[in-house]
Amino acid sequence: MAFLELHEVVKSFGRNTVVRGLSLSVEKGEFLSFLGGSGCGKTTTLRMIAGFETVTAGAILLDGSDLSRVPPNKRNLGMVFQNYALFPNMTVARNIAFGLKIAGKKGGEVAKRVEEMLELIHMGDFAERYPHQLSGGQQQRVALARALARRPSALLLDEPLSALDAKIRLRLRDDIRAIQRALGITTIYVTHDQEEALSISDRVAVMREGRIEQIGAPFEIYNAPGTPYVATFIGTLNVLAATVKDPSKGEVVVEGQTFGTGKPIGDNAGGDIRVSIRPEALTAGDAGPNRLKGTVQNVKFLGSIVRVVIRVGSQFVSMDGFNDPSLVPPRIGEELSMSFAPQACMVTKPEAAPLPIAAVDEEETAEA
Amino acid sequence: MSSRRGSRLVFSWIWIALGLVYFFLPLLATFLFSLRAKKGVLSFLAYQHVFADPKFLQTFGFSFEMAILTVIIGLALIVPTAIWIYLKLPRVKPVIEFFTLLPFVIPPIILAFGLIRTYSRPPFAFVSSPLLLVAGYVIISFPYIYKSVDAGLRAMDLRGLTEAAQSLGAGWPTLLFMVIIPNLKTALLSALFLTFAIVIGELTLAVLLAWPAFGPYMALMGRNLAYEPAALAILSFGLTWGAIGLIQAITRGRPGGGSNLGGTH
Repeated sequence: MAFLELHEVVKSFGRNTVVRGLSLSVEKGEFLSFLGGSGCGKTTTLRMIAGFETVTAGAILLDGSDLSRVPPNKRNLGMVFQNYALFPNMTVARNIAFGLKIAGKKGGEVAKRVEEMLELIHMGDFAERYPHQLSGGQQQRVALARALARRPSALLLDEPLSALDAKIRLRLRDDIRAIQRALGITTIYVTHDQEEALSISDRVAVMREGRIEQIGAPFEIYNAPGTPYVATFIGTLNVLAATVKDPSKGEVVVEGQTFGTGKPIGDNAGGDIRVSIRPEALTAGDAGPNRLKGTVQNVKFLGSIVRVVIRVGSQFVSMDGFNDPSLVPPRIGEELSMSFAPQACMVTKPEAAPLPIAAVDEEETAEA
Repeated sequence: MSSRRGSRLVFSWIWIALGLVYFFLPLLATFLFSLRAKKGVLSFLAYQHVFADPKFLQTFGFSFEMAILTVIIGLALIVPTAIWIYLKLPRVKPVIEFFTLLPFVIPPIILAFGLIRTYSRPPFAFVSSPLLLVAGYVIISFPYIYKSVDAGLRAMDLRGLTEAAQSLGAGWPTLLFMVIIPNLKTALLSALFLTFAIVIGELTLAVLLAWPAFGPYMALMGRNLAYEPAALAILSFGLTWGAIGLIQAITRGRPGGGSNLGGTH
């Protein structure tokens, strides 16, 4: 039996059902992220685990015991909030000590533990500061230390990095993961940022409309998206309108150019279909078995990656390549051939994968 | 541009000066008048008379006690209610806002007659108890207490702090006394101050319920004497300003206190 289990959990606010029969098992020490857009039910699910929302139907089990009737202050779960929620009337040290004192720990023990926690977040010199004297990143570190001080059975983080600057976000993200690994604490992390979820988690649960769309290791989610929604939500994706040429061989036509998708297609020849390819699955040149030709529309330099937007007929395709200083990047207006493996193609029905809005900067829509 | 801003600044100062004159001129006039009890010289004779009258301290003491009781009962009723409404029943907020207007709409004299009629015969024969007066004062000061607490709750992240405290194991008493009230300090002090200001000078309820309070005493003095009421007025101003100074002194520089008024950091 898993450490934390959700069985067919449902949450309704009046007539509005936010979580629709969600089941999940989290192993002890695992780092699991809920990833999804706003309104997908990820935060509500986390708040049900924390006890701030009641469960309309279903059950939440922690270490085998049902949490449904346990009030939030008896669950012993550490919680970190998006807006830090530090106690403004208390110093850093007293914020961290708060939970320990409630747990009835003695003065010496409390002081020792507070010191340990300050060490853990590298803020030993800040014990006597008040929250308003700290930066956002520092406040969130303190909030993390405060949540962990009581040695909770699990750690819950609700978009903890959303209010921070990009640079601090990256550092704190690594710190959270390092601390989580060091303590081996079971962690549930809620975020709308796919890069965050993929980089920090053991497993990612992609949520949509109150259900888990797909759950798996970041590698699986990215490389083998189980549904078109996951495919478009995670990473950048080129979605191309195509027609079926040969269903049994899996051949399709995009803007008059034929290529294979590796698998038979359960559709008639001439039918409309969508083919999705990740930008990094495309390489410049004629080397691969599949090719698409087009005109270079835009070249974007993204640091380590160069993204080339190619116009193929009336559609746009993004191609990512590593930045290689010895190579000359393609010029705008140049004819270019891209090659890719048939296995890189995901074939879906037209209604399952909406086409991006045709624009030169169409790769932005896939990320949004 | 800068000259326009400059002239705007000058106008601001003129308006401030006019305002100060408007407020302080009568005070100054009253003060000067209160010093003229002895013909031809300025003296504190009127003040001596005021302090010589045992009724001054008696009535002031009585009103002071009533004010303390009003503050205690008012805060005990309103603070938990307001917190509860913020956390659990935000829909009820407009209803409470409407209730806070009632003490302004219903004159104290109606309130007094209502209290007397309702509580002067069994089973509610409370008219002889000063608690009935306190109850009336709680009603009169309710809008001020509620508005202060409301402003204080609005300025803090009540839900966030509540959930943070709960996730750390805090029950309601810990949450209330360790987290919410320390962060409401400024709001509670302003509620306390306003309540004192109202109760110390209150006339109608005290007269109609026949209690020897400070308000009726001042009114009586005003009818019978010339210089002493002026001295009383100056004294009550002094007490008021002293109270403000005290609040400033207590809250200054303390996080969660006065310095927190600037908003969230």
